[in-house]
Amino acid sequence: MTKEDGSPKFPGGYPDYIVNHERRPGIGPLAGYRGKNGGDYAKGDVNPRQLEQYIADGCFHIHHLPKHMRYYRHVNRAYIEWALDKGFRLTPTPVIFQLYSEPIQKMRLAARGFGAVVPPEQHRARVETYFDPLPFWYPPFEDAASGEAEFPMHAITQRPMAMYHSWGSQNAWLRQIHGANRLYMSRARATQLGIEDDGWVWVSSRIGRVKAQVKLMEGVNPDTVWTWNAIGKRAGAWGLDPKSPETTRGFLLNHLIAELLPEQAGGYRYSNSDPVTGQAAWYDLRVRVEKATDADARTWPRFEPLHVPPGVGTGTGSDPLPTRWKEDRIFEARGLTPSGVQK
Amino acid sequence: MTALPATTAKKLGLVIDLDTCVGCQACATSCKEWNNGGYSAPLTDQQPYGADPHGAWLNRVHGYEVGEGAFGRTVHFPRSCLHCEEPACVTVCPTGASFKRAEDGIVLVNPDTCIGLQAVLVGLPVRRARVRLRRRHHEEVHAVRRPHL
Repeated sequence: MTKEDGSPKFPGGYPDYIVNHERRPGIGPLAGYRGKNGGDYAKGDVNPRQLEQYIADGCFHIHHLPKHMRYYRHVNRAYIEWALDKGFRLTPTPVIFQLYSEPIQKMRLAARGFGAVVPPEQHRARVETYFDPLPFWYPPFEDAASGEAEFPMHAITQRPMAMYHSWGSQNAWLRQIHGANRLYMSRARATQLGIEDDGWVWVSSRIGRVKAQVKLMEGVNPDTVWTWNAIGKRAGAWGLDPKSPETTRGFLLNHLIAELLPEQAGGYRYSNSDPVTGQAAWYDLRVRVEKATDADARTWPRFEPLHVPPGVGTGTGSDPLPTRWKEDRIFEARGLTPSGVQK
Repeated sequence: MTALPATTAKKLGLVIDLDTCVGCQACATSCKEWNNGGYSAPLTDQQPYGADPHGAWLNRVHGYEVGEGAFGRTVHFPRSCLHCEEPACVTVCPTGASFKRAEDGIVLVNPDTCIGLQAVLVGLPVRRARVRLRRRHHEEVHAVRRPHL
């Protein structure tokens, strides 16, 4: 952050910023010990001794709400007004979780022709069906779109806990933990299909297929296969070596998930997503799993490696490898292991 | 071979509830983080962004499946040092580098006297372990992760 003349707004660095930055008047990064003497909570003037007071208190500050603000806070007027004043909340409205959802019922009534704004004629039946004010279950659209006979299994993903975000893939430690992903499937079902543990399979959906290595397990429904999400990478992506396990043994189910549902009468294609929220229907994917008979022990599809980003590689002629990979290649050429030890 | 202290003033240990562990690996990464910056540092990584990324870890979490069919259960097993009462990795050490501290029973390795013999790993109850030499640097002991999940 800079002042108008371009000089640093907080020349004292992070401690300066933490103490002196105000996102709204009186409200900054730390809630405790605000005000000239540190006596205010959540909202108050900048206190130059705020950090010292935090340190003296073991780096914590605890503020106890008065008893009448402690309960039913989603509709507690005293709490809501206090929270508004302190900047925790932006509006004084109560927070109501509706089991019977009035906003959704309004949509349904609109589909029935009530009100000034009604959905276009061709969408009314769909809105009326799915905008139900009480939650209900219906078969995923994908079941009808794919055909249960041709694609008898569901395929789903989970995020591995060790790397909740996909950018964990470029973390040097986390990619040692989850550098590749398998397709996990029921041992009993795999036996029926002639698929062995660690074997390679084709996973097909109505729009395409991917190749993956299986890991058989007991704790999965025989009609479901699953894998870790977002491990698979195109060669060269994220600045990783094109021979990385993320590329050679990682894969994505994304190639199998259709953006659109099949044509309706009249040719319109709805998005393959939840009709109320618009959430993409990743979990509705239906697949067929077959043993792969070719000898290529790598995942598929494969694409040309991405170019090395400028400034990362050696930048000379025919050697586009980033410096950090180059050492490994030198070892390889000299018959050494990646750690530099004679094989 | 290195002798154990006859008695220790304390017997510290680490208790892990395997019924509760979900295999999030947070203990493994935070252990690497802590030890990477202190005693016995650095815990280096080889090919961190390359084709065969691996490195030194003092704790790993392995996942297994136990039982069949409806009785199948996933078990996650954090393999941190348990500071055994009679640590086999200490008694097998020829230099005294691997030792059990008399004050509290903690098992430690002195990097200055360790010669990287790797015998420690023969003694380790955590059997899937190995030593990698990183050029002339001191050796790194790390368990090989055999992930199931």
